[in-house]
Amino acid sequence: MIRYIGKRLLWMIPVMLGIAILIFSIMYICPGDPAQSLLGPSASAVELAAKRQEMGLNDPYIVRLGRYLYQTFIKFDLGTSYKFGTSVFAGLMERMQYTLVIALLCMALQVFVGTPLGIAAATHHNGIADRICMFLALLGVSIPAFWLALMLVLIFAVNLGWLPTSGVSNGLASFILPCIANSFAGIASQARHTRSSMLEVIRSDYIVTAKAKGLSEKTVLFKHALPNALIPIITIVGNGMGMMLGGTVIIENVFAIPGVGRYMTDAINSRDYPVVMGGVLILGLIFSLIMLLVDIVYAFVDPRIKAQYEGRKGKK
Amino acid sequence: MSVTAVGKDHVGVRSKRQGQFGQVMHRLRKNKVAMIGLGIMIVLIVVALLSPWITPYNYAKTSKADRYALPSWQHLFGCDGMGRDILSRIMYGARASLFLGLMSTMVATVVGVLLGSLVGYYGGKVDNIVMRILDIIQAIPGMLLSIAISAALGSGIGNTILALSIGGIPMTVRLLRGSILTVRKQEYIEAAEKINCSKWRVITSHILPNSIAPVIVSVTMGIGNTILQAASLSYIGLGVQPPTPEWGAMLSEGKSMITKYPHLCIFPGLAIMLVVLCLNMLGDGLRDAMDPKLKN
Amino acid sequence: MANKDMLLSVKNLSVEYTSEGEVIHAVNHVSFELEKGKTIGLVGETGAGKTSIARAILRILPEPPARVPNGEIFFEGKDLLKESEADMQKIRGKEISMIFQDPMTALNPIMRVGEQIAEVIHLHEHCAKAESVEKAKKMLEMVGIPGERFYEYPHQFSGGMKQRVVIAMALACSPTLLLADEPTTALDVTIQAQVLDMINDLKQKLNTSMIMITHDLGIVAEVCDTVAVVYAGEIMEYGTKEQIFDNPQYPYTIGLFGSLPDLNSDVDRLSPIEGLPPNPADLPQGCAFHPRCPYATDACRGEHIPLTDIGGGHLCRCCRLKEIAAQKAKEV
Repeated sequence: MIRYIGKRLLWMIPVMLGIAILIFSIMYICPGDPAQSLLGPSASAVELAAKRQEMGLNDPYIVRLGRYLYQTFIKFDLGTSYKFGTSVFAGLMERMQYTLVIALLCMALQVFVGTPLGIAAATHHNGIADRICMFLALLGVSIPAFWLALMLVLIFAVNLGWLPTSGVSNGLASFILPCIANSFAGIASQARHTRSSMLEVIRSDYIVTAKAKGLSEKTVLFKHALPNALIPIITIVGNGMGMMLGGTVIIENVFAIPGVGRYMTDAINSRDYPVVMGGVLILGLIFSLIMLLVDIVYAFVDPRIKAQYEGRKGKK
Repeated sequence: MSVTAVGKDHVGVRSKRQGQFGQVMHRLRKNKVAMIGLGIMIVLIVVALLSPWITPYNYAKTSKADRYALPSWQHLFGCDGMGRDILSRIMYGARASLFLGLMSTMVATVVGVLLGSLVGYYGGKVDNIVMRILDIIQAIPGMLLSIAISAALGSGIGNTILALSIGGIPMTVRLLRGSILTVRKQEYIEAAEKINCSKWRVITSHILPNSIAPVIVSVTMGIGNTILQAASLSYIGLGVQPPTPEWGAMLSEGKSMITKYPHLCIFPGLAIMLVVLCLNMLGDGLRDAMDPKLKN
Repeated sequence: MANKDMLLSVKNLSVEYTSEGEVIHAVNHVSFELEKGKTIGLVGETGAGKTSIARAILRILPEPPARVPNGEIFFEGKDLLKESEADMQKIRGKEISMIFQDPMTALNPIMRVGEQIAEVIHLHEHCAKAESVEKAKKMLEMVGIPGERFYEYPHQFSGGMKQRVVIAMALACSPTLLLADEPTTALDVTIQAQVLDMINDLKQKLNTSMIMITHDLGIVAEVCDTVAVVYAGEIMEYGTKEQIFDNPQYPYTIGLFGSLPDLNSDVDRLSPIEGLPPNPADLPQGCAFHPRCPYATDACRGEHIPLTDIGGGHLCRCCRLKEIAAQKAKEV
């Protein structure tokens, strides 16, 4: 198991390198001139040329890529923001708290609201509870998160005045609407997947075996069916985290939350490439770590997977 | 020893003869929810195609008198800040949204199916390399990748399609690959290879038809998701840009006035929701029709 | 209940499934009886409705889509179909237990095998957890698996071993009736004999009655006292093992024996039964076997044919017995 985790951690090095190369290349073909955005529209042609030379913008792609990778992976330096002139890493860390709070709260909502809804629907299969849950879930995966956010603001902040419209100055209250808007689709898809996984497991032979033992319906459901049904759900949770991290980019914009997502969208608009690249790299790292965590959790709930990781069969 | 060999699975064999496709369609047609979804989708597509001729007003026609007009009998959904009729803009905007959704998903699917069948069938080194590259792409949250690519390529329909489709490729490849790996192990594939079917034929007429079902379902749902993503992109100012009417862009334009004139945002959002909802209803129906044992 | 020793008496049992608007008649008016300590074999092709009969007795049919429209199942004087779900839970696993066809999928993959056995002991014998673990280990050893493998998971077991676990689970509470649903079909031939011997031994040791569901006449010969030949959800022929094996009367039963290789006679070809079993959603009129029956006449296609006693409790559902006997005599 430890060997497996070690192998996976080692494998993250090439993945991070890959992400860095990919995002650098994307930024490389971005239109616009960083020197221009750095010096402002009033800069003269001579000043611009000098700045470009200084920033190394005139070097060929491969040289610039090499320099970027060297800076990032050997010196662990994500560079300096063009716009603010401050360390990108410090800038990201300062804003990360908001993004992580939202993403983790959303995750918790997805797991602790979505899963019970899915179970309830599966156990009342084709009943009224099932239909209502599934209609809401279908609606949930069909609503654009940012539109839901706008509507929530309209109702709860503007009309009812219960919650703040934007910003982070009101403590936890500031995060309620962003989290609901951002996690709604996640809750819905968690409920849908839990339900179908549950329904599939309920049809398994070993559930019939459990019933034939004389176990009560509750025991069959919660001791035999649920643990098996939750195994495929773990992946959904991991993917959901990716969705939440991506979703916060939009949600932070709607609610004017000074998180990593807003930092990055601002950076895209102002051609502040180091921030964009650093942000993608850090979020990619977090996401990869979460996916690793998901795979480890898998091994703990499913002995078959654990055996696979340990590369052994038969006796312990 | 077995006396049943004669009669085994005869029912299955007989019904396969009628054609799997026909059976799926038959089951789908009986699914009311899916049919409602399909019906509304068809109406919306027709509206989108005919929009230049059937919108009540020209989508670009401005009118000072009608600025921020609330919904009324003249303007069912009201007017925006430049006095343009919102209903007409939504009808016309369906073109961009539907086109973006369909095309991006199509690009992602075509590339995904090609790559997926390649790695699924050949395995080995090709599989390893392609899957590792996809690992990298998937390690970046999808929305983030679309935003970055969209920023790099600039706005416009073609670029947006590209930005939206790249993120969708890995999932299709993975889905198809997994499905192919299961099918590959089946004996009929070995049988086809043993009777000297060409590789192309084995892939196209034996493996793909038996492993494509999950992809078809995910494509249907994928269109809806892509439409959502496209709208998000336009909302933060990337993707399709004004003055082209596109639902996400309309929301973006309306958001600053939302407290005063909520109708600017309500209707385009409802339009997005309706389309995605219908696609999901259809997708659910397709999934049930293709795998009836899941529905019970 | 006329007979005191009668453990199980199934009367007029039917099972239907509804699938995409079609009603599938899986079991049609089946009646049979089983004495204490005896074994009845339900013989027939895959899909003949044998498993549905067993599941109906335990009331573990998937409902919906399955439904039991009519019938009575008397077990020790109680009609199981009228028992409450709570009472059924006390019967399942304790009084009546079942061995399933496919050991590969019959065990919960994420639960230790021993715990799966201990669970049923703990449930029905109301003993402490530790005690049920000890008993489960003993059960494992009884079916030939070392007790220390209690803590392993199903994927660490071979198919034959898994089936032993399933058997241990079924016999853990010494049930009075064991439903064995093709217990050896999914196993290798060499393992089949071992498992069968083991079931037979344990059954004798615990004085358990058994319903053996199989399509394998060899197994019937080895373990059964009475035999019911099931075709299209109906019992077509019913009698003691000797009656059926020495003197098969129903054309389908005759066909079954005709498709078995015989070491003593020198035949070049086996004679399989021509054709396919009928579609259970659209059963033929009259005798369900008539489309495949070489002796069929118009009479077989008309009225439904009753099960009649042809001597000594040997029942047969055929109206052409005389003609068949005559033809047999001619052949010999």
